[in-house]
Amino acid sequence: MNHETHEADLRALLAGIAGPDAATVDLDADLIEALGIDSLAGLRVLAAVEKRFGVRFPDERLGDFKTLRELLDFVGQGGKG
Amino acid sequence: MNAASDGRAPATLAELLRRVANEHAQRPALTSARGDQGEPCTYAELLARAVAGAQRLRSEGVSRGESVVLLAEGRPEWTIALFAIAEAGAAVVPLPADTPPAAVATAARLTQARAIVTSERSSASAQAAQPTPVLSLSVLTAPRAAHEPATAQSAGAQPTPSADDIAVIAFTSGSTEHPHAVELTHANLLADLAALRAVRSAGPGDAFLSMLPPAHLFELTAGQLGPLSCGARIVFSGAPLPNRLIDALRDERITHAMTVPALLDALYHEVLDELATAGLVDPERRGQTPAETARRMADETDAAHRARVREGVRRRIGETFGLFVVGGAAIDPAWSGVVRPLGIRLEVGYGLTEAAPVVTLGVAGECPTGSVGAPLPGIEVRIAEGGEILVRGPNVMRGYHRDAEATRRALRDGWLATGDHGHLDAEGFLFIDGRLKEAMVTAAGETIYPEEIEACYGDAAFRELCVAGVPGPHGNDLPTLFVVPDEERRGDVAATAQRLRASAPARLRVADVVTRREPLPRTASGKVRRAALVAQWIAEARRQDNQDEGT
Repeated sequence: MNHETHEADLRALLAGIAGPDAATVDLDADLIEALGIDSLAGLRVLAAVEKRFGVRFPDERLGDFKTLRELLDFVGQGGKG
Repeated sequence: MNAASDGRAPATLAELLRRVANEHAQRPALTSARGDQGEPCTYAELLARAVAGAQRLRSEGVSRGESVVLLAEGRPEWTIALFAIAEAGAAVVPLPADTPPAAVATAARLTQARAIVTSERSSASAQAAQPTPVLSLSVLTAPRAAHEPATAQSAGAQPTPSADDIAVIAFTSGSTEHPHAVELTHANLLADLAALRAVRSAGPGDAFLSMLPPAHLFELTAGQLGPLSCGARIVFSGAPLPNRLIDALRDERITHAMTVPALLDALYHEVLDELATAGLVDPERRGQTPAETARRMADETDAAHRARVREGVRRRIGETFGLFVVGGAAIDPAWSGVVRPLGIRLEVGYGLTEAAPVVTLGVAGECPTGSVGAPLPGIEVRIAEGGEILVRGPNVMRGYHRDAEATRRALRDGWLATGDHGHLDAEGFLFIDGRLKEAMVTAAGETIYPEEIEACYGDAAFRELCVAGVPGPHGNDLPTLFVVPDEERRGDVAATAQRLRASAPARLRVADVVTRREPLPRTASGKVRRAALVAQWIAEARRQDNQDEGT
């Protein structure tokens, strides 16, 4: 899968949790901030990404995945980013 | 030395550990979900590592009557460190792993901590509390190395802590300006534990999933001491991602879990989502509320479909899971209609750190709707004339740390004034009607003081500002910023508030910003009347709603 497919998948998955704003949210925007979701919805986003792409975020670095770009990079590297 | 039970309840945490280590020596006590930390730590090993840890603490100069900060996430080493500190005769000052550096420094200073024990993840925050020495959690709790002398015998030469020594000093908020540190003795904690065990049993075959920070007393007493006192196994979940929690329920054959309303909600959506993916429920229903789900489940007449859904849920969460205890904030009574048909019990309760912490407990769906259960045995609850809930019992704290004034206000004639409003029904069930204190409880069960949040929002664009809790959907408070703009300074008030919100630490971000033209309501001495402010805002919002409906 290429980057664009990943991005479309991620936006669809975000929209399921945070609503339609996910379609247009900036790649570098803090998602919790930009989509007005709480930190638990943030955990649901990470959970959905783990399931969809078969990756596992390292516990001690959960705070590093704040933007769509950071999620895309991690997913693009097969969860080794 | 045989520390077998002589029928007398243990007097200290160290004694409790010796007793269970003797009784359940080779049973697993502590483990991590996914087992990525190797073999589970057995009860015998927990004791050995706690004793070795206590020796290391003593060699750092820690002795009876002193205190040690424990700054870490929930993991097997957390619990070993708790007992190591208790074994050394010192008080534990537990802080959640994400405590900001300034709050760590304040806690260490106020408790005159002799050391800060920290995991790698929190070590940067711990360094901020210099000059307090920082000890590595993994080093402190490591199995005894070959070159270290065994000290099981020499431990007897140390002054033995007594039941009335302080076991835990717990901060009820991360505020640096308004720290409230509760002193709980060994007797307090063990009294609450005994009261819980008098009404709820668990045994060596049970496994408790630990998903809340053990620095919170609810998890510490009910989620850690509870299972350990009866030989059960504790499984630490790591980061509480809902998919991982559900995996752990199944893979670790979990039977019990302590949770908070917001996590319960996240788990529910996770399962609903998977049922939709599996075609067992209509995908349209992914977003439906627990109340809707409960109604649909009650109305479902097709027994075969009902059985398929139940089977689908069980396939996902495993066959063993049977009990959620929900703390921190009130829950929607509809929840019992969601989980009961699946064979899962939901316990509700009321507690506060000052009471070590559990005061009442009840099974949702069995106790009256809206109640938080009945007082535990040995704990008395009564309602003061003005409606405040008062609590008395051996679990009630001896006072706030170095704050005689606050202690005098909270403890009156042996009764703890909780700051919560409530009533008891004829059968003795407690109902919570509201909070008198200005502290807010978030959906995640965390206590935050308005002043902590206000400190992040000061700006010349605001003539006046104030943060107050507006009632939220999970029985929680939504921290809301009320601002009165400075008319002489033109500017986008909303944009300013959003900018300040974005730069505030995540836990101090307000849920909503309300701009008002009228001055904030104040007392004669100039203090903002937060309750009146919230009441005005709710009345105004209702009026607006009615107008909208009318047009």
